[in-house]
Amino acid sequence: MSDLPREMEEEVLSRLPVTSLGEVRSTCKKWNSITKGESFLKRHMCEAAEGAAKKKQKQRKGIGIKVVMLLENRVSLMSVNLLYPSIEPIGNIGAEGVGISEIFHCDGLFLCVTTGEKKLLVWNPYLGQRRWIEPRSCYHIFDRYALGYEKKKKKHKVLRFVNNYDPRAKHRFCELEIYSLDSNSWKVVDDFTPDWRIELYQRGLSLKGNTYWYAHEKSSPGRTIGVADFLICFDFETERFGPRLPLPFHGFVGDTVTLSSVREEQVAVLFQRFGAPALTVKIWISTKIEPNAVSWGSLFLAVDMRPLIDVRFYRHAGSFFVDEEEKVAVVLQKDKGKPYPNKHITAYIIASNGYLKLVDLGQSRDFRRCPLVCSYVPSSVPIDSNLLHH
Amino acid sequence: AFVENIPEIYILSLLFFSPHFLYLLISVSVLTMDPIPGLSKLTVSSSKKIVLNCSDGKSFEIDEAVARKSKLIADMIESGCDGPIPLQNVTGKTLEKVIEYCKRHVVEFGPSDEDDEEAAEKLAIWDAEFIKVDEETIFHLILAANYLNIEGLLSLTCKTVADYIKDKTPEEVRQIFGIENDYTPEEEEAVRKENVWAFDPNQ
Repeated sequence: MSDLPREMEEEVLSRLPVTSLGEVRSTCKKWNSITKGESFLKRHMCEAAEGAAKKKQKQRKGIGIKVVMLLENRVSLMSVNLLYPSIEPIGNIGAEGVGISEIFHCDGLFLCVTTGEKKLLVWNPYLGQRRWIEPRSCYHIFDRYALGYEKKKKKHKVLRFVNNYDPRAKHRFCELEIYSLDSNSWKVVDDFTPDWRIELYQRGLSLKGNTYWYAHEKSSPGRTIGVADFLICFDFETERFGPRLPLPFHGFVGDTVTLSSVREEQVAVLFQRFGAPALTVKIWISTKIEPNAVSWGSLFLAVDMRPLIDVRFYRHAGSFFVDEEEKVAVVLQKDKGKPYPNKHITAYIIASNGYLKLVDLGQSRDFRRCPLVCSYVPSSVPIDSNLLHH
Repeated sequence: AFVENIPEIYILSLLFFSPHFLYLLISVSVLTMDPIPGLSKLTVSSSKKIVLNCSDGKSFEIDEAVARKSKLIADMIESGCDGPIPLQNVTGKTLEKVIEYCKRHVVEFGPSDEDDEEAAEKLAIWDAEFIKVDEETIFHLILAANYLNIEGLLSLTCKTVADYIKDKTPEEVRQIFGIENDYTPEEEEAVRKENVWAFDPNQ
């Protein structure tokens, strides 16, 4: 093997799954450096993205779509095979024994919030690098976070903002600051006076370096009718929130609305109106999405949940992703299980023609947490963990 | 009177063989006359042969379609190379195996084997048997496939070696491939720590 030229060693190693890279790197220094190089990553991505036409062939062979899931405070790389169907973990992270409560993916990096004592962390699973991010003062319980980058120079940043009335402190917290990964420092943005609200359980979606949220117009408490809802984007280039972006539906507080990334290029939005019996789940995919403009395609999927099993995706749950070729959506949900009050995490695979399959993802013991799924595209963005604190 | 004297069997055999006889007549006449240039190439179905010369003096004659599986050779043919093609970087033993692969994978006409599910499975089974060779041969095949630019063979050989590495511990891999462990214990620990933040099936 050592007689093979480096290029051939790269060819061989690039055909190993991402989950074998750890052991490969432990073998010798040469392999460690080969598998972290830019050309290797490109080769690896070519291997993985070997055409959608071969996707069905791959699924028959048991090679599925790779997504990252946060289940019960643990982050795992899952292989989803829509043919059988099955959702299996193919790699977990040890995470130094830390539990994760929230996760965001952007450009091959993950931003995580830990359970217990709230700490922020950015890591790159492909390189196995991570950095703990210290707050400027402290992290607030109503904090919202996002990970993004400035397109021109590919500078990665972390956003922290809070826009909530804290009943204990009896005043409204309204702060916005940005952490820059290369300077390892926070910068406060002063003119943050939003005229909108984002529900605490709404998760931001990172897309092309910016983050999008589902938001409502600020209104007097108790008023739920006639409150405008829209998409709002934080532009990491201008470091400001953009204008209100229209949605293909009108939702109210209490309805389930979740966002997902499609091919890292477009946004998919899931909408299910609150009500019993459970009503139709609808999903749209955008045809254009920018911080100040959005256009929506026609309805991608509409499933009437009533005749099936009367499932309403809790507004805290409903994390999903779609497969455009198969025209299905995979939605994560916490189901009531036995014995009460145990709940099960279930993945619902649904399609417009009434197709429905359930995959059990295990018991849920932590009642506070909701299962999350996000896309993952490996990258070799370095995260130097050796920077000194300021 | 002439017809009456010929036994029936001769008439029958003439009738039976006549289509072929006619075909042969036409072919021969066309060959000798060649009214349409190139038509002779169509009626005579054998394809052009390419001669490959190896580094150790061995020589192989194969169909052009088979030789074209190698992008290197195909390019040479395109740029007008007519005589035997010298391949200094490949030995006879390796080239024999490469030719075996190319012959099985050549697509003459019609849909590619990969589109037909059943045919694809048969091909995959053939590939699996084909690649059951010793380590040294596989490495020679990798180098040959790279030099000759045969995508399918490069993919097959590299994937086979990768699959071999996949389920082994680093120590086992080092032994099999004769790789030296150049990590100090501290460095090894540092690499292991990095792995804690990578997707690993063993965590």
